[in-house]
Amino acid sequence: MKDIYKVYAQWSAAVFLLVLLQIAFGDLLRIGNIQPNLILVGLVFAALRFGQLPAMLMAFPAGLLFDLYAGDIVGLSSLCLTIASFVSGYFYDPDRVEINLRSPRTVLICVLAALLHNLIFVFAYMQTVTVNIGLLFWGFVVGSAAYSAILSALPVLIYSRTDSRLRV
Amino acid sequence: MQSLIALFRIFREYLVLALLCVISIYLISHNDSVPVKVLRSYSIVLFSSLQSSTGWLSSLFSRGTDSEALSDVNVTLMEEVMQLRRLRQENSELRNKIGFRERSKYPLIAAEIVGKNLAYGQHLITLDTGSDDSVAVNMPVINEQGLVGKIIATSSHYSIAQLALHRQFRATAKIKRSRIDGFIAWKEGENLRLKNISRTDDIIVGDTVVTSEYSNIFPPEIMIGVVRTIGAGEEGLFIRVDVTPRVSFSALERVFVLRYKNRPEQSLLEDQSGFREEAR
Repeated sequence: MKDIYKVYAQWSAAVFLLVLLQIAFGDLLRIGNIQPNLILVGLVFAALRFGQLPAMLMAFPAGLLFDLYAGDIVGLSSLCLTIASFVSGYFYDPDRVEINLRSPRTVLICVLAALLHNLIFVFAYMQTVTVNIGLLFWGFVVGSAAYSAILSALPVLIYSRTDSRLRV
Repeated sequence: MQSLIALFRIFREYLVLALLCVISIYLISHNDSVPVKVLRSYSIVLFSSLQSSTGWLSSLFSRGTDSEALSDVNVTLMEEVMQLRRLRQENSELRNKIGFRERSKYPLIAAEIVGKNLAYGQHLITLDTGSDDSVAVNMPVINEQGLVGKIIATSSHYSIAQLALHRQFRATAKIKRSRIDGFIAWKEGENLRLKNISRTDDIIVGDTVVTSEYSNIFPPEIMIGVVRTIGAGEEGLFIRVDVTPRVSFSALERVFVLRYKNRPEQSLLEDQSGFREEAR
């Protein structure tokens, strides 16, 4: 198999592992009603590593898998993750992959992707329920995005302190 | 043809995005279709065993049970049970005298919670009992505090229950004191709302809310919660009644599935005549 496809397979496996972690340990990481989205964090990194197309192709099955088990509306997570991966992929630069992955900019991209993901999710999910919009926006949309971004800072911090010869 | 391929190469990301979005939207609009339900049951089998093997870790961090407090509760409950048994006997004799049918007893299936998804508005739990233990879709789920939810999907050894805090959950309910009927739905956070209560109905803060006899899914008199606030409603004649659920959903560890047999003849008649049912 070509090297690049091998790397795609490894990253796809890592995203699948993140789906399992989200299902198994998502509730442990919850603070109040706010839960981080580990799958989204992984997909942002994938988008910055490979670009929009591979990230979207990883995002769709990951979201679908998550929805089939833990989600309420099948297809919603796959829609949100696909769009978030597409937007994250805009910041992909094939000449600056390693620099981007080691830069704090990744955390900001994760914030943007998470906000977009949560906004679409809330818009589609809460059509039938009358809720406090302010609480929903600040608690779920912003809160969950911030929590995911904080978690995304961990791999960036670790990776930025590794030798530049180490490549993912 | 060449130009078409060239066009595809230039816009392939957008085309793939559009295609995946269309597929996602199609799946969203066909959530109740058979293929999706089949896929869901396979995913339950795949992931439930994972959750049950990691459930011990969650229990380390969740609130532990206080054995002394449980003993006190146990003693109180035993006294209540003895009193209820006496009242049941008396009631049964009276009902027999005036020709009422005997109320059926509902066997309980004990279940451990092996997974939780308590994200905003979703509130689903995974139980370690399934169709092999006679668990079926739409069976009520309760615990010693009251109504927890209902079963929405099963596999052989696991099942998924929708909690009363799920955005789609509905149950016909009534005020125990004044027998006013309404239905319960999730409001936000860990609160419920009792709907279809008119301004002239006899309801006060502190009233107990229980399931009503009109449900074809939940047996009557299961505790739901207590009326917390009453205010002006958004919709004309009805008032806003907020209910604090009796069950502590964030501390759920063990529940019981009620093998409550709903009335198929009633369900069929209501479906045929377009009667509004609780959300499935």
